[in-house]
Amino acid sequence: MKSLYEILYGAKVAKQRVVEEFTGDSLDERWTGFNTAGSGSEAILDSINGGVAITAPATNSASRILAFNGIRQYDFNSSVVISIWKYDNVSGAIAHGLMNETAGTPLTGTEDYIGVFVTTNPSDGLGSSDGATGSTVSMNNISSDTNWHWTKIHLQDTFAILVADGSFDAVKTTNLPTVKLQPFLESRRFTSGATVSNFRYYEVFNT
Amino acid sequence: MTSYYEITHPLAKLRGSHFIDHFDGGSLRAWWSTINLGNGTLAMADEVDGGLRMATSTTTGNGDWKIIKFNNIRSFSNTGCVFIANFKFSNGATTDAWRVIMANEATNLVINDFFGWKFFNPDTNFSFQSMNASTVNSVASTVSADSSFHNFSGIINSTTVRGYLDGNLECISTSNLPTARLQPVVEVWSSTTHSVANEARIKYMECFNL
Repeated sequence: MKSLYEILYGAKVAKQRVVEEFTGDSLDERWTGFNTAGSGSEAILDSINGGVAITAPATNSASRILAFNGIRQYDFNSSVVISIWKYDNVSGAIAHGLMNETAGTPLTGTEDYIGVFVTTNPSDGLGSSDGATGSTVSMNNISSDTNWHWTKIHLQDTFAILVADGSFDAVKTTNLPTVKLQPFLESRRFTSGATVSNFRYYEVFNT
Repeated sequence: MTSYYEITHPLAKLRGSHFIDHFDGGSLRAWWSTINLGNGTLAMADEVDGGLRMATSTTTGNGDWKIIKFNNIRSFSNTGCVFIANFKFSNGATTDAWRVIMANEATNLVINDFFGWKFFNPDTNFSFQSMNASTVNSVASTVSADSSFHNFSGIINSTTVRGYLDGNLECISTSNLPTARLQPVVEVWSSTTHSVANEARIKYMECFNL
């Protein structure tokens, strides 16, 4: 009988990893939700392949974020993030990846982060910040729609590669994070209307 | 280093809902909800390969019911999903029963829209069932019921449901298939007073959409 360990790691020593499928009665207790303003919420959906739905607060420019409560175990220069996600494409944004922030929003550029950002405006893409400056490179494979997508970020010391829906999409070499990171899943409202973001798979591991 | 995603799912297709539980540790995972009626035990077993203990009692009463499910969070498709469960029981009373199934149920007891394995004493063999909103099919396997762990599994698509026991195809049904989305459900019960407890264990369950 072969162990899952041997399949994943061979003879190497394992590094930190989380695999989340967002199934069952309730969200796993490893996740902590917080709002940048107002009051958002999340719930596991009673629907086929539904995953978790994160509803942004009913406050302009406010976000609901699921994270690891400031426990940052992932490496800024050698980690991989895989997500399956969709959003309602109404008036807000979905973002997901890794961040250093322990509260607030990672979208401002004043905190270290790396992630996929999709909004109703043309700035969608692979975004990152080195704690001083945030920037984004555009995605090509995914546009703003309401379909499920999967993305994979390879984060290295001098570059980050984005694979989107199974194909190479973008590479980023500037403003990469420089400190330890935790997972984040974000649903953000811009000006009006409810914003709901859905996730049904999230995996991150150090390489 | 390999991702768990890529070793368990083909990249050409978007992964659907999927869960795995080894039933280990100090308590049942929070993704399960429980129904624990009457007497008996519903708790992790402090024994080698014990998993979760679902035991009725020998106490006089109206019956003991031990059920775990997803609290009607139904992520799995009635037209394309798989379940795999390692389960065993040892019973000594003619009113004991269990089911390991995928079900739509909205109430405490599964009464429609499900498929999976069951044993209702005094059956002699394990049986596989499927049910739509009104009618149930029950097909006996060739395997005599015993108190050992078995690998009970089932796979359903839009036209057919198949039941496998220890890897062997035992039952096929093409009628009375469930018509609504599904959640995993494990039930153990005894409806009347009895002298020997039904000691059931589940140590693995996995479900995923095709």
